Amino acid sequence: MTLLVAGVLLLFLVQTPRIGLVAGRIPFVVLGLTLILVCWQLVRELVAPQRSSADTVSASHDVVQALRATAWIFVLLLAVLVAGVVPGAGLFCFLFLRFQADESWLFSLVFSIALSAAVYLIFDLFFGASLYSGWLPLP
Amino acid sequence: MDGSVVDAALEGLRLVFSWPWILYPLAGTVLAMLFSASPGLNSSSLMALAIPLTYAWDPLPVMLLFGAFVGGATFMGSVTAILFNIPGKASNAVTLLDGYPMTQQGRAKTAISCAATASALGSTFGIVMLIALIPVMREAAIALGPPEYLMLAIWGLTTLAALTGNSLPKGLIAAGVGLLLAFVGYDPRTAGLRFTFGFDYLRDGFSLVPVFLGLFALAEIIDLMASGRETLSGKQRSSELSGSAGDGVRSVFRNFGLFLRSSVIGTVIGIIPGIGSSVAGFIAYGHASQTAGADSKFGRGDIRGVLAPEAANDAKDGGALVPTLALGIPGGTGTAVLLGALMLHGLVPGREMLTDHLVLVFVLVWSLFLSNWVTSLLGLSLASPMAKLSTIRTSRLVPVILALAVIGAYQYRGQVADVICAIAFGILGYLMKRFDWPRIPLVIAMALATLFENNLHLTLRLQELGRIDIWSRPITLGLMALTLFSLLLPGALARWRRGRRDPKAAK
Amino acid sequence: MRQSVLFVLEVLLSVTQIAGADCSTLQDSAIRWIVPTRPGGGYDAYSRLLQPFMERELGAQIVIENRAEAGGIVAALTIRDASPDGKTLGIINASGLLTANMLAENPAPHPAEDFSVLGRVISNHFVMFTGRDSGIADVEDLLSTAQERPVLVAIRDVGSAGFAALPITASLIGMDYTVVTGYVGNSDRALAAIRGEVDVVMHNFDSARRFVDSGELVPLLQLTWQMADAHASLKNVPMLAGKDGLAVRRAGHVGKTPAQAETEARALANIIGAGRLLVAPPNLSTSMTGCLRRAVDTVMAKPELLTAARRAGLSVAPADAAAALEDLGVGAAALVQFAPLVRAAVQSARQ
Repeated sequence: MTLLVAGVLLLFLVQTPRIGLVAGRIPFVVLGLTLILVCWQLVRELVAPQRSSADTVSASHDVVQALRATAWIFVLLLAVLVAGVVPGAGLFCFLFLRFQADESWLFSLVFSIALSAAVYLIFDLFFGASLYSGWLPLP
Repeated sequence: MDGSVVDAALEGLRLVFSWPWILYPLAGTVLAMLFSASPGLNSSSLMALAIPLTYAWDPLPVMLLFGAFVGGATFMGSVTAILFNIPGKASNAVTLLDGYPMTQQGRAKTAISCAATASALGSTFGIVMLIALIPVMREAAIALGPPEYLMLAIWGLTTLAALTGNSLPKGLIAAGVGLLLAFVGYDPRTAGLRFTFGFDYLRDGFSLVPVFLGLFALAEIIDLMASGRETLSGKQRSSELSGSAGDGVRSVFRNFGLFLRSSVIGTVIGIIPGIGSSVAGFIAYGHASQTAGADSKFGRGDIRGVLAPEAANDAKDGGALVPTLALGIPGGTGTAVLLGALMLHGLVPGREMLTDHLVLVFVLVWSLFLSNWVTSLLGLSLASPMAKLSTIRTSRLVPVILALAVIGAYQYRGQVADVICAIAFGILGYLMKRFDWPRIPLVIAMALATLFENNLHLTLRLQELGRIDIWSRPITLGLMALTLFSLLLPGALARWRRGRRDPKAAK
Repeated sequence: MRQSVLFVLEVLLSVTQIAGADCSTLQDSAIRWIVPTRPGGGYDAYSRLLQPFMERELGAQIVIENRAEAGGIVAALTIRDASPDGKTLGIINASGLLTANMLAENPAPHPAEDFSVLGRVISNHFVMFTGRDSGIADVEDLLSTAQERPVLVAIRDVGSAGFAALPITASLIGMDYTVVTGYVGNSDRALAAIRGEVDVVMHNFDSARRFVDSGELVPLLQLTWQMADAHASLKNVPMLAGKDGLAVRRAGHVGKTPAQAETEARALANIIGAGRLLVAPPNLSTSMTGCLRRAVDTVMAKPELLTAARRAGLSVAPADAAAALEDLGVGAAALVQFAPLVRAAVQSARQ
């Protein structure tokens, strides 16, 4: 994780030549101090590796489940991008309930239709919020 | 207080509670509650929708309705923050830091009722301060300048030290990253671009709402699924939930000193025009954690982490009306739209409003007061039923929460890129939680960065030009002392408490 | 030359567009209205004033979005890059964009070339103000002060329209100045003058009206050849441009001829006067441009709008797209002559 943070900071560092001194004064100071702290933290971790505190980490971590969860979020994103918020949320809900939560076909279908309907009624009809309509020209 | 102010206050109160005028604030309250409970929508959207619809109305019903819009909006966004880790708007974001962990511990009822109570009492405090400041409103709004804003930002940033969890270096690094993320986009002084990496999306910089949704809501979803947790609260039945509405209400009175301090923070920050609505909550939260002492569980379900930002957020509404009514300068987005509504009805803020239209001013104020209390009382009565949501199976809640998060991220600016940004921060937030990196310093730093940078530049420049002398400004010096006190207080408190427990060890 | 060609094309197009106007696709839809200021700012106030009228005229819902970053450039880019389907409209600071475009440091769109201009709400007329307690009672005091030390001026950023007007004004009246950047909105700048952090600020009269009414801000100089507003406080305030303007009276002091000073002062007023334009993305269809222009013209002519504007303390002096484009062309041409002066001032201010 420290290496990831260091990588992010290096990306910022690479951008610094494009920024003038007037605009960059304070960001450069902050970047410099943060880089120093990151180096210090890296040294600390190399010298004395620390264990995560049980208080802040969930009881049992399954890396595969975490990756699966992340993948589902991308499925949601794809569904919304392609079909829009209302159909996309319903489609994602159906796929998630059926294939991740192992709910029955009927429950998954009914729940997802109800979710889409609720989103449409509440946000689109009642509030008049303009929801993203996706790439597909759906009605 | 001037007799005319008292008379106007009483006349305003009579009008708000008379028939049929009371229907307007009640209707406004219900609408504001519904809007603010939905991620991505808020009272500003509601007021903006209502402006053209109320165009032909007389000023009185407009004030009744819009006052309720402002007052009824804050609390409900906290409910979604507490229950689902999804803030209704940016100012509710801080509440989730401890509110959601309380839900995970089965104490959602306590959290919601604490939020409702702190919200109602904080709003009352803000309104009392507003009324007290009416004779000196303009002077109060003008008195604060760049040095005062800078010291407020510094004070807020120093509270980070108390929020770094088990590792100070990690907390400070997270804060540094938060500051850098806030610097992405246009520099306000030179209009030059900074750290945009060539992406058009980053011209606008990172917005707090998608960042928050990602770092907390989406990260928690990933964590929830990774941990295999059955329900949000870990309980299968509502009878297993702990805490009570009474606990939540009592917690505000047990921590009354903190409540008062948070309300003062909210009111003062509300008076400063143009500061984002989330700043009050962040600073109050940071202050609360600094003064918490050895029993602090901030970030892990400490009730004070709900109380402080809720009190500050609602006290802020009263404070924000000070520059809005006195100078026509909005304290935040909500009051900015309110200002537009007032002007379109011929109610131009300024001296005239505070003299010729003082009764209408009090109608607005009392309507805000009424709607805050109605919202909070409804929230208190619904705390138990709402808490039951935390016993629903996670697998059924996840699609709903994710849908709300996506809507919230998209609705904020109508950009799909904000959804992608939220997802990216969701992955980052999960990794930070997994590897014990505190997230709170990152978001506090992000929220305060612009206030800090702009006013540091202005203060140094004006000091250099000899136009100000920060050493002769009482409010600035007071805030400096407060900052020093805040830095030294936790250590002093810890030593004092150790001394009381074991006098020999202390020696 | 390019500006003139564009102007002629636009006028020709506008004649054909009105005949075939069709806004039916906008009925019952949501239109994004992009505003380049924070909520409560001047452009926001105008937008909310127009909102109910435009909604009724178009049969659509207008959703106002505030994009205040980079002094309105982000808002302008948002409009420019939106799909040309009539569902994204907005209001831009034409003089600010002309200035930013001229400085060519950031990708600022050109108000005439990069948008479909629909009309103008009002021309800008800058006024120079000072705080009541500044010790500067009138413009003569200001010039005396400038003899002793540089006058401190609050601006948003180096490169804004407010900044561009400053070196030009200073060169016309012989005023030494120093800028303090970082004051984002007109209200921030007004408060800076009231608190005594700076000596003067320059912006539209509307933005300062309530402070002038309360006596906290005092107008010193109108950067135009006609009254910037009908407000009584401006009655005895000198004008920069015009045959008897301050620029002509100070010509000798600054080494210009009266004719040269008069021409330059008028040019400055034209640059500032490019005004607050209502725009849509470029490449809008002929019929859509025509219908939107007609809608704007109809709304701007409504007596109820003018009444509402008066109630809200906002000045409205509408112009149709053709007139707006013509004035824009004049302003753009005027700016070219000042480019070296403004660029030098930007360089100097950044050191």
